[in-house]
Amino acid sequence: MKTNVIQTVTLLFAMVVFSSAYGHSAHSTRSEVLAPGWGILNFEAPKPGTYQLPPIKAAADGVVLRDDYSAARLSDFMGDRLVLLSFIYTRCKDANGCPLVNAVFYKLQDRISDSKTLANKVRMISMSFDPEYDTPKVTKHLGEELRNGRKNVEWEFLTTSGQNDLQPILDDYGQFTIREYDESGNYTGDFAHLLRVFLIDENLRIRNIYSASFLHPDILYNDLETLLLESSVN
Amino acid sequence: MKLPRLAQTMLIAIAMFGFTLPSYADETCMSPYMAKIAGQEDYVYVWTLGVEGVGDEQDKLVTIDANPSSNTYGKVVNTLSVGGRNEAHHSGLSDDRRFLWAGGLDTSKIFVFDLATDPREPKLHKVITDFVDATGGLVGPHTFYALEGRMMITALSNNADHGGRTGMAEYSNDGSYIATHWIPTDADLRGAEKSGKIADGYGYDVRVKADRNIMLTSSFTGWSNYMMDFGQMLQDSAAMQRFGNTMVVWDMHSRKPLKVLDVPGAPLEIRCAWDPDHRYCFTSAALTSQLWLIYEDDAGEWQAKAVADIGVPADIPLPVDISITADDTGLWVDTFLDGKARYFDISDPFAPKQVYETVIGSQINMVSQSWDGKRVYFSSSLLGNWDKTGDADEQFVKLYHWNGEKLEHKWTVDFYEEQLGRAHQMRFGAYAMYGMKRPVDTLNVAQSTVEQQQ
Repeated sequence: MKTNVIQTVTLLFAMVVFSSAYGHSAHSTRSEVLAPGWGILNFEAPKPGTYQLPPIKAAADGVVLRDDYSAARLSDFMGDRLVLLSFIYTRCKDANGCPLVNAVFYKLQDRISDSKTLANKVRMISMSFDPEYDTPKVTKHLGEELRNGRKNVEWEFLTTSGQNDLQPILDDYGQFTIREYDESGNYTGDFAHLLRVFLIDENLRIRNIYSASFLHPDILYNDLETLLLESSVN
Repeated sequence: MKLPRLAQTMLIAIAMFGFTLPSYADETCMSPYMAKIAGQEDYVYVWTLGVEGVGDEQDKLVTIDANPSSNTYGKVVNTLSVGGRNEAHHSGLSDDRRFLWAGGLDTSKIFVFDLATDPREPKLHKVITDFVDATGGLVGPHTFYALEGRMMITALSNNADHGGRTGMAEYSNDGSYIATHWIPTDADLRGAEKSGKIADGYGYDVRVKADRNIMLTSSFTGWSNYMMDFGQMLQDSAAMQRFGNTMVVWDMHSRKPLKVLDVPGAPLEIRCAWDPDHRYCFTSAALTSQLWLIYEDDAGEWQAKAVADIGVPADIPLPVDISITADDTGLWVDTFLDGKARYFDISDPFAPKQVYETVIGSQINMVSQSWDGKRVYFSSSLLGNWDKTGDADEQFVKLYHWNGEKLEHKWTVDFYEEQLGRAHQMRFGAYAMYGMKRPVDTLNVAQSTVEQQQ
């Protein structure tokens, strides 16, 4: 299982680097520059508990689909744990887009599993904004490939039944997406979007938002610890 | 179905995927967190001060068509007045570029415009009227700097004495207040190191070097000065003492001030190098007419150093806006009083050399360039009570093309002739940022024919 996961991530990384160097030449000029999350952080992340993460806004709710096709509320996955919520789509090829989120979450889950403080306290959620392609069957497969199999960290892979359920959630989180078309006007299967990952506390408040510039396991880990310290003080 | 493909869609490269690394921008001085345009802009949005006796006398957002394929190229295609005068000054786009936030230095109102619904005709989406109370006393919202899902807003003043002591406020993209970050003072350093003589607590601009987890702020002056008549202020020795002389280095992620640097003479706009290996930013000190480099030394300490004069400082040319090129080799510097644009070669950031200058008008303030540096826009107004008077009070937006050696004038929009007011900050917009095609009826005849045949 572990070998399979490592192979998958290695393949994933190779794919996105290839994509970065080749696939998006029509859209950007220097996409070969990889985000900090792929490597070692260029600075020391501030120590947990030495800073504050003031609430930004309430975490929105909506109807989603689990990977067994059962319906749920997004809020069903919040409240009992700290949550990292990302919006992705599985066909995303941009190195600094969804594959970056998957890679950062993949690295983070082992650290959480090994943590005396964060184990059993965190849930990561990867939610697709491409329900037409990302059926529960597809998200289930991605989850099976990426989860480390340890019980003390949760990583949920969610999708929706379609745009009617999806769009209000994207609007509430400010996750704007654009379908990409080729020069013949055919949908390419790609979306232009700003990468956003949300840190949500147990009171369902968004406490931080990450772009590619700051999405790094060291920062996420310390932010999670900071919220945990805050709740222990309170 | 084969869809028609617009020319500008082919020209515009949207760097709007997950990566928001500091490699993609239109105005090269924007936040690295922002979605970027790497090609031709469709519109320039000009946040404009209302003037008594000019048009409807209100502050307004003016939309100028900037696409050379358009039949209204270089013309005003829309104005949106906001119902009064607020000392309209700076503006900034949200990280997804769907909204433009614009501030009033006098009333402390913030106007949020929706650009995405119809880029040609922006809509007033929201007005924030409680900035002073919500932030705990900040006055004069100035820089609007996009962060992830948030806006960092610097202020210039406070409601206790209307002097220069101030801070920054963070708002969510939907307009909700999050936090206030006060600039450290001698009385309350807030944990920062005072490396020089003073910690004045003044504020002006903010920029982030995300790759170094560093945020920088600069300092100007408070409400009591920026709302005063310019000539009267120059004669008021006490008022002239009330200008900022510091910059502050912050830990970006924790929002904690780390170090207060002495940078005398009102350091204004901050422009950071784009290359992650270039660990420095520039600013210009208005009163001393010097270019300063804020840099990380070999020991990892951030330092400030005056690296060049701007014009002849004794003549007080009053440097205002600056703009760095995408490759970190050039810096435009506007000087208000002589109306000149100066271009510095900053290949060696410790030894900038002026290589070009030209007069743009009787007075100039802001400068915005396209990502490729080929198009450079200038505007005229500094502050309502500081702009020149009489015939010298020209108000305009001008486009020039830069060929690497000289500027070539393309068009001027005369803001008095058009009954608009004082032209201040310019921001770019493009249909492609919103997955939209430019309406065919806004293109010129030849271009429209091409589109319709596709």
